[in-house]
Amino acid sequence: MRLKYLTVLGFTALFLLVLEGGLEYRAHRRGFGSILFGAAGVRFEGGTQAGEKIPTAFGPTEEFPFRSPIIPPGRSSETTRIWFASASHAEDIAVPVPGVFPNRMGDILEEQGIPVEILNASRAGLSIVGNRRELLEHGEFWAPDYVVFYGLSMDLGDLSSLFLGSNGGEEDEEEAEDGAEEGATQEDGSVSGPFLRLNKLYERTTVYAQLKSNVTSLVTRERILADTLPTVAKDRFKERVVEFLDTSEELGSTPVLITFTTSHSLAGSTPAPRSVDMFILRFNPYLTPRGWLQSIDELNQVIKDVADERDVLLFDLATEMVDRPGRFRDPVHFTPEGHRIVAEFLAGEFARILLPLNDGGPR
Amino acid sequence: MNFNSVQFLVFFPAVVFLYSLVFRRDKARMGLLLAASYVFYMSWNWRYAGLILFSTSVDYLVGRVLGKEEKEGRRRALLVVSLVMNLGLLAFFKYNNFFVDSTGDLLRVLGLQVDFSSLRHSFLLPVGISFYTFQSLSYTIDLFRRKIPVEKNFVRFALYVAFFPQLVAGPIVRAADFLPQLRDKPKVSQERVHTGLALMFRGLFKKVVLADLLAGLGVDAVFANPGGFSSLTLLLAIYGYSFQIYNDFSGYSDIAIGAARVLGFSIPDNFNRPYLSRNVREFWTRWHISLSSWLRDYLYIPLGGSRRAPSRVRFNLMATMVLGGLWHGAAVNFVLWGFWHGILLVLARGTSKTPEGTSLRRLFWERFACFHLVGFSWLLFRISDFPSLVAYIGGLLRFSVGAELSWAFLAVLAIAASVHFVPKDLFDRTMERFAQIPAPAQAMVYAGLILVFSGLSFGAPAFIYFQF
Repeated sequence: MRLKYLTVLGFTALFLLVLEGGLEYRAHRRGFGSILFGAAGVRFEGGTQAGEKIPTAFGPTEEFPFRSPIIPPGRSSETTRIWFASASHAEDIAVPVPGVFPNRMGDILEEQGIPVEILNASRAGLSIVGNRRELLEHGEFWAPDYVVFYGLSMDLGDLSSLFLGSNGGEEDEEEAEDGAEEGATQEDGSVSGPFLRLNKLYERTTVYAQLKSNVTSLVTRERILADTLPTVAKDRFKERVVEFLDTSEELGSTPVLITFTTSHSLAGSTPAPRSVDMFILRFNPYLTPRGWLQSIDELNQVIKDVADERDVLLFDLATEMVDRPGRFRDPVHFTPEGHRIVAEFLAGEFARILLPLNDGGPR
Repeated sequence: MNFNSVQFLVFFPAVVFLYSLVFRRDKARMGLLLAASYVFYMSWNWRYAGLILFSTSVDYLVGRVLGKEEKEGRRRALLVVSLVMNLGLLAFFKYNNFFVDSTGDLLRVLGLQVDFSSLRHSFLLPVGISFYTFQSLSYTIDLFRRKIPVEKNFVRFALYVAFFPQLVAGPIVRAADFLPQLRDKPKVSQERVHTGLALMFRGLFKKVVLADLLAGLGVDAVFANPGGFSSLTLLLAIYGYSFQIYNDFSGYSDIAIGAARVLGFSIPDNFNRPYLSRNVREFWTRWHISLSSWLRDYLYIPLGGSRRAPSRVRFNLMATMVLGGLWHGAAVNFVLWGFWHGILLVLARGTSKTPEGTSLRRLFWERFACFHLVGFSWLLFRISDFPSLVAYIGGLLRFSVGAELSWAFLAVLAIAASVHFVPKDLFDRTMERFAQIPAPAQAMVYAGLILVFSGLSFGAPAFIYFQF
């Protein structure tokens, strides 16, 4: 075999690379992030005022697997340690580490004189099953006082796939750990290690983003889409939430559930534009956009019911954020301003719990 | 690492590039292909590489001893070692839980409460175990029958078992066909590389554009909830699944054959427009040819084949097809699928495998009937629980009409049917002509196809036959 036989492969790779380069340049000129030209020009609005404490080092690192200010494993009894279990919503690599809402919430509480340490264990693609796995893996070592869950849209993604897709409810726990939404790598359990990293790199390309937005979503509209999530899927979600709460409590932590919020909702008065529909179809090819929004409401209700049954802390962010599309840069991710508002809301909720404790009461 | 994944898109050109660098050195070439095959296999689960290495080593050693042994009794004992090892691993990983559960269920029906749950295991089914087990077995059986010479080179034998293009879902290649190719220098030319690539892209088109779109646009939703659709939709979904599974599997075979051709090897065809068959006997000469011929040569004929009393021939056919069904999966529905095909083959006894002549009208109705009989078998193949099967058949018998499927589904179904019925020669000639156009023009088409495949894919679903 001679190298010249492979000219076709060489040209194919060249054409694809040139296309990617061109699209990345175009995206960069329009202010979007790309592999070649770096992160998006998202402005971090806040956090540098005089007197504000700016941590010098952030995770994740090998020793500190959280996207938050690095803290030592050993803990003092003076501080409250809060673990955030979420997905890309709270990891949000488009926003600097201090700007994501768990970390901003920590800063706000510190300003109020409530010493807290944040463990932001959020990672793109994690459903509550993956969140629980992370908690089992690292929770005992880092010993959080509170474990906060936010992010049910990942579960909606893989429950839709499980019960409305071709596998008829046969759950694979490995697959359930990672969902298929919002920029996360969709795993079909077929690859691991370096091959998975290759997948993630591909999904960061501009070509991929363009194809998913302009081709996949259009095809998805032609599928037979469901208007509702089956009851059995909601029951499965409830089981997952209960397991998560059990794990948190077994670690000696207090679980906190947060209702999930989206840029548009059925309860809101702002109709969802086409771009929102396309976003939903891009990541969930099983439900109609309306069915997706309705399912978010229904899974939020599951969260509320579980919180009620188990007497667990519940922060109703969804109600707080109704009709505020300006706080989102897409249907599920916040703008920097959105992160700030969510942080303030959560800080207010935590302050109500932590202030009495901090005033000398038993912890 | 599925063939329709971005990983394979990087993996295959990288392997071919390295292959071209070491092509002239026999040992390096073989070593590279073997290493690439194991990397490919380990991308699913690295632990199971040990399993395939174990099977390979045992069959290699059995083969070495068989090659020297002349005494019939010892030769038979060696064959038994290979059969027990290969079929034992297959039985343990694939069938253990099925038989444990089935035995428990049967005893419960008989009123005996015996708990066998401790005998179940939770190991994942190793990818492609059914395929490479049959491939490896064919070597020791053919060696026992003195049809092939012993392979003394371990790397060459290991590569025969693990050759990555056809490792996980066939075609099942016989040692007599493939080992000689490994002994000679591979036949590589620009024309073969180009036609190999064209074949790979044809396979990807079948998989991503036809099979996955049929599944995504209608088949999956209808099979998931058969009670919610009209009879017409249920019927169209059976047609859709018939062409989905054909394009999924024959697409995989095209990619495997194309990839092997790029590397200089020839793998026989696995499909030949099966839905043009006039009866089920003919169908099995056109569908999954490598498996049906394997079952014929290593199961049906040793059982006595068709040169026995009619009742024994019927038994042989039924046994072969039921075991063939069970080969696909450890579940009752696959047994029923095999049983259904066995019955059809028994009924078709006396008809010619490849009938010729007769009028166009008769030809049409024969093909129509055969397509629908096979289509019904796909219901058994696809639906694993009895209530859903009853719901599906009940829905079909309501004879209701509704328009639940989109125009896009119907368009893809029409394209899939058209592609299936295009004569093979026409395909081959078109591919050969395409392979002669300038490389940049071919590359432009391939780059465009990669973009289309990527955009149309709902997350690179695995090939259906990977699970077997």
